[in-house]
Amino acid sequence: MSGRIPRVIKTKAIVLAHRRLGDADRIVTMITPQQGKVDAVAKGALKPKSKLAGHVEPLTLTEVSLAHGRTLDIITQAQTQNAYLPIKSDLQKMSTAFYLLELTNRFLIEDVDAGQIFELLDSSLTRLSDGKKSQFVTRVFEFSLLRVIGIKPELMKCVITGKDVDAEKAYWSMVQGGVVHVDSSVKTFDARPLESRVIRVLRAIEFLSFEEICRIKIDPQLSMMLENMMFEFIQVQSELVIKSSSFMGEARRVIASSGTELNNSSRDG
Amino acid sequence: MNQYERRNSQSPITTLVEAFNRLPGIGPKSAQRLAYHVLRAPEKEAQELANSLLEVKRSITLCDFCQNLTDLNPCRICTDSKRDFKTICVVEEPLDVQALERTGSYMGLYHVLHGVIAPSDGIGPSDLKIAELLKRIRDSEVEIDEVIVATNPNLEGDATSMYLARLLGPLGINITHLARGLPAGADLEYADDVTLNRALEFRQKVLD
Repeated sequence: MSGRIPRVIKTKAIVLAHRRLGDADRIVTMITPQQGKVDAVAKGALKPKSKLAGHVEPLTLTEVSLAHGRTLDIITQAQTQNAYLPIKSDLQKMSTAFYLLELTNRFLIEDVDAGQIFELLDSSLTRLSDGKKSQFVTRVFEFSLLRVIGIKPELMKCVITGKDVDAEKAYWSMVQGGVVHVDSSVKTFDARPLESRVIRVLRAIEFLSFEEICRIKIDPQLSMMLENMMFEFIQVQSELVIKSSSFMGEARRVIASSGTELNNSSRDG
Repeated sequence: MNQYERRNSQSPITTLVEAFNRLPGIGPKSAQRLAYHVLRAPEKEAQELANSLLEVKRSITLCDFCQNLTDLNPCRICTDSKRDFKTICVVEEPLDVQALERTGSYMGLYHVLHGVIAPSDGIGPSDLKIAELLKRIRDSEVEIDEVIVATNPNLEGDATSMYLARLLGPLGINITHLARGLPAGADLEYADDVTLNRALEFRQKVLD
């Protein structure tokens, strides 16, 4: 019997992004544990009665069947496994999720263990859904992702001399990728003093379990310092601008100005 | 030959094909077909096409109030005395206004955002007509009772909807969004969890 039988793969996937294709189709970008990042066409996904549309929305863990196409794979079936619903009704959580999805999308390149990143993203989104603090979920995700792709900041040893650095005597170099001992700080142009409490929290994030990290008391000022530091580190080390990071601040600002009593106000009317 | 000279030296038909190719949804083959159609058509038809393209660019502007595309400023909807001036329906694109107008059941005003919050594409609230909406509500002579957020029911649409609710909530306005649920003629078996959850959440009595 002649003729090519299309190869069909059934896999779990987390949808990272989508873009329009023609009048009614969508190209869906997903992370899968085995195939890594996959772009596939969801035919008719823009039609109101589409059987696929809701199952291939960004921020959805879904089981998809992918038929091998000439240029792009085609999604033939999809079934939602986890829609991370609590995230979708909370602006702060949603802005965090946008950031996690974009980081995954931008950093998921060849030769990276996609299975590990898939598990990391799923567990982080689950933690966010379960009401764990956004700042801890984000920092742990960033740290773990940077570790997997091999650009984790060095927090224990001086990046110039390789010697242990005491938290009280730590300087920080974005370009060199970690802590610098005060005595070596003149050897790198961007070394700057680092508050010891910042380095202590970062070390805790690197070495403690998530449950232990959640018990750390962090005031808003320290939280902002950690956030800005990680945003800048990721940008300098990867040479990528993560666009969704600014929306996290904008969401925080509008939530603070509206007060917490408005939670879910759009649904309640 | 530099790039500018090369562009100027190419034939008019190539220029036309490239112009069509830049339109959304038009690939190189379709662009060629359209260009050759224009070439074969009577000169009058080509002239009408060229005139209508220029006319639409010259005469269509954004309404100062609703930001919809219009040839009159303020637009016909914003000046229609039969409309309910206390209700504003916020939509993503001008085409959404046409879709809602086709229903014939909405008699309020509109506000077109010209996009949706899409953080991963770098589109934030300041890139949309949100500041204009806020100013319009604050400056309105008639007190606005309700803002209906009619963004698309997807992640970006929901983010925009929640952002607007947070932003406009302190003004004491009732912020609602369109109901979520199963489309007419759909099959329950194929519905996703989000749609089913929303359908259950917003269920209605069969008989009032």
